[in-house]
Amino acid sequence: MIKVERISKSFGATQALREVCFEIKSGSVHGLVGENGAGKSTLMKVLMGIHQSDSGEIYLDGKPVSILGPEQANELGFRIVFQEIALCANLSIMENLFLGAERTRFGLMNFGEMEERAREVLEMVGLDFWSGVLVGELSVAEKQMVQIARAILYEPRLIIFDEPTSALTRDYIESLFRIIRGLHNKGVTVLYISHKLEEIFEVADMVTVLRDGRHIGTFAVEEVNEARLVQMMVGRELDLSVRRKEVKAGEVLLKVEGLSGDRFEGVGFEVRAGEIVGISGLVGSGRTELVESIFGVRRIKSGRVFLKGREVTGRSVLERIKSGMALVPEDRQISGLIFSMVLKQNLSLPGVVLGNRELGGIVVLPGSEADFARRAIEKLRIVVSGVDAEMMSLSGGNQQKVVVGKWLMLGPEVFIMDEPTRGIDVGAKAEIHNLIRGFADKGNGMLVVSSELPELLALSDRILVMREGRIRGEVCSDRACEEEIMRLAVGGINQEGVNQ
Amino acid sequence: MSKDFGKGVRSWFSRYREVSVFMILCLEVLGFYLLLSQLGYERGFFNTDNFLMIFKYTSIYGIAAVGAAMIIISGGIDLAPGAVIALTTVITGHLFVRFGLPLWLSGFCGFLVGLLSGGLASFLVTVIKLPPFIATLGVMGVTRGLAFIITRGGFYDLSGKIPDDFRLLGIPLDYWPGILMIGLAIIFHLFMVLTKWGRQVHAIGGNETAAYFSGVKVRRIKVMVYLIGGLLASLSGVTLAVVQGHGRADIATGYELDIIAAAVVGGASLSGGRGSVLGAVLGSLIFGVLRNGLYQIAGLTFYERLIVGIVVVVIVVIDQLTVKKESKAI
Repeated sequence: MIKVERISKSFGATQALREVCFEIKSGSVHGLVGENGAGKSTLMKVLMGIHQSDSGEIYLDGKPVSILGPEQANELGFRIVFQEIALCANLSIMENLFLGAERTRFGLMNFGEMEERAREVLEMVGLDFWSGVLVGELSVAEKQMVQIARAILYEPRLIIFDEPTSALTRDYIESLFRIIRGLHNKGVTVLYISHKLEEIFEVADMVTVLRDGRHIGTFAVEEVNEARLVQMMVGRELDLSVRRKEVKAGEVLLKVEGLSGDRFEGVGFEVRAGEIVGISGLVGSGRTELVESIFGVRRIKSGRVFLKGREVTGRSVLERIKSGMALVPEDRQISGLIFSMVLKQNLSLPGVVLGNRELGGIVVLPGSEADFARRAIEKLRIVVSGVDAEMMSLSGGNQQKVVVGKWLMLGPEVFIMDEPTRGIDVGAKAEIHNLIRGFADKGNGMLVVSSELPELLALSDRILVMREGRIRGEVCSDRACEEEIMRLAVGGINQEGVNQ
Repeated sequence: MSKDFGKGVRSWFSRYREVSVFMILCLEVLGFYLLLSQLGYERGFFNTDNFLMIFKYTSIYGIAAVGAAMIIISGGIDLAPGAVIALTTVITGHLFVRFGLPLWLSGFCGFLVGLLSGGLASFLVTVIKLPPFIATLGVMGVTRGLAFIITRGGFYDLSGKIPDDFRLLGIPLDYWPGILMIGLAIIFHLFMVLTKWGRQVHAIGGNETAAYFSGVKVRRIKVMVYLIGGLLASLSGVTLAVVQGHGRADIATGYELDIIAAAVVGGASLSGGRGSVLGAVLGSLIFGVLRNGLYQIAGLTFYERLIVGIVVVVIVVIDQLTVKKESKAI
């Protein structure tokens, strides 16, 4: 049994954890939920010895332990699977698994022993690869499974999963759950941190809720439901069951005809003024490639794109922006934000490129830029210390608001958002949903790609479902149900396998 | 209170890097003055003629450092400026001495070297998509090689043909390197800080993908910085040829690294996105003063390279320490 008693931790003026107390029963799967900034990461870093708590104790089987560094945490049998990929792409799976803990004989690497053990753990996580394959050749989901294998390798007493499914495809999520159940049967304790509450209900026995660094409660999962958890996490309710009111769709703003490119083929659809059109499909179905091609950042093979009746095929990204298109990309870290620039410069970038008058035009006036940023901060309710804040100091939700805000300030008419709420907390999610609705209500066109079906159902007027690069169907959201969309997304053949 | 004050001062210094580099420069001049007074050499150091000399020698790489800083901020690197400077002096010297063309025309033709080498570098980087390190390594080889082919081991002496009291726009020749260096530093610094193009250079260096997704015409901006880099390097070359009167293939050898070091001392990050044009020029001046000061002390000339190396490392280490302290404070 692991007992956390009155753990507090502050960073400067921020109190990340306030006297948190709870117990993790040996051999249980314990869920840990909370918004971004609730203290989940800090708590797990304290357990792993990455941070030291300011006060409080950790008890292992009734005895107090001091965890001063990651080595001590490992000695106690604590292991963690991080959300980010922390593997060396240039080394093989086996070398990554044993990195820093190579098995040796007479001072030389004992490849035989390592390979055998590697094969065992790879089989456990369901990775059908030779352990000599380079990690760089694996997909993100496969890399994540290697990280999980790496944690299992050491036969830990406690294994912490930090948002493990954010990079995983459906198949691997299934196999992750299988692994967790297997660990559970072996008596390993699992601490499972996730934004996705349905996962908590699927694998966890117990769940602990944190909010603003405080322990709100620990429950057996049978005692609570999703709505109650969300309410505890945010102190208010996020209702995804509200569907959008019937809207009067206006003129066609975006029209795509027979568009083919890398990973998608023959795609055609329209987005009308006042409409929110969703795109659903599994990861890898070509959704991101499609919307990035519509925005002009990817090459197409054939097809045409019209914006307000004017053809923009072959036009540059800048010209599309000028004619009123905007894209919030899938990954804000990679293609949304520039971390060497401060907040106001990130917010103003597209405007600066356009030579926006509000910013001063060719010469970017510092005063106008700060005003511009202040208006965006107010409009999107971004929580920051000021217009000169470093992007790294913002939470995920606030970073995402910056990516939305930099476009919203330009007043686009066709706004494409790819996974607009990925990895952000419930509060920020609700605010972005409201922005999307408000934006469409003003008579603009909205195209939203999302992996979260409840989100798409709550937001969109109709949903296009993609599979293997083609649109397989369109469903109206008032009649749509998750099952129908899933059937279109995975195809009819292995329907039984999906429904189990 | 005093702790907050210290923090504020530190963050102000790291944001306005030019100010801290300028203060290091002032301290350096003061230090040399005091040191040389102790040794009885101060007369040779602290006077207008010597300061003009410092500007004259520093400008050779200081002008090129303006362009190099822009390239580094864009996330690239330029290994060509030393060689471009040399080829420019050779072309200018060849046309002026051999062919007897007027000085302005010879200088203008020298200037074209920068246009061509910058154009070649930007072609290799944006069209062939070579890494900037390799592309400019190639340009360096080609330009230095052409300089040797043209001179065939000889050199051109321009100074004999330029009268001693030659004035350009009424200003004596000796003042020009300093005026050009400081003037260009201010102009391009403002360009980088205030204009939309400068902002886009910063954006590309910070995150090229995000810049592209925001509508930045990445190729066009990159072509611009490599062209400016080439042109400013050859302007260094023309200045060198005219003011010092040399046209040689082996001149400015290894300057590309001094230029990069100056940019880094001035606050540039080799991973791109951060840096300052003014800082790079002030960094060049720090090296210029250091060389000049050491030169005045008998027996220290041979220590120059060693000391320059140590200074670069020390300044950058101090910088990283202050940055780390700041991020920890959050």
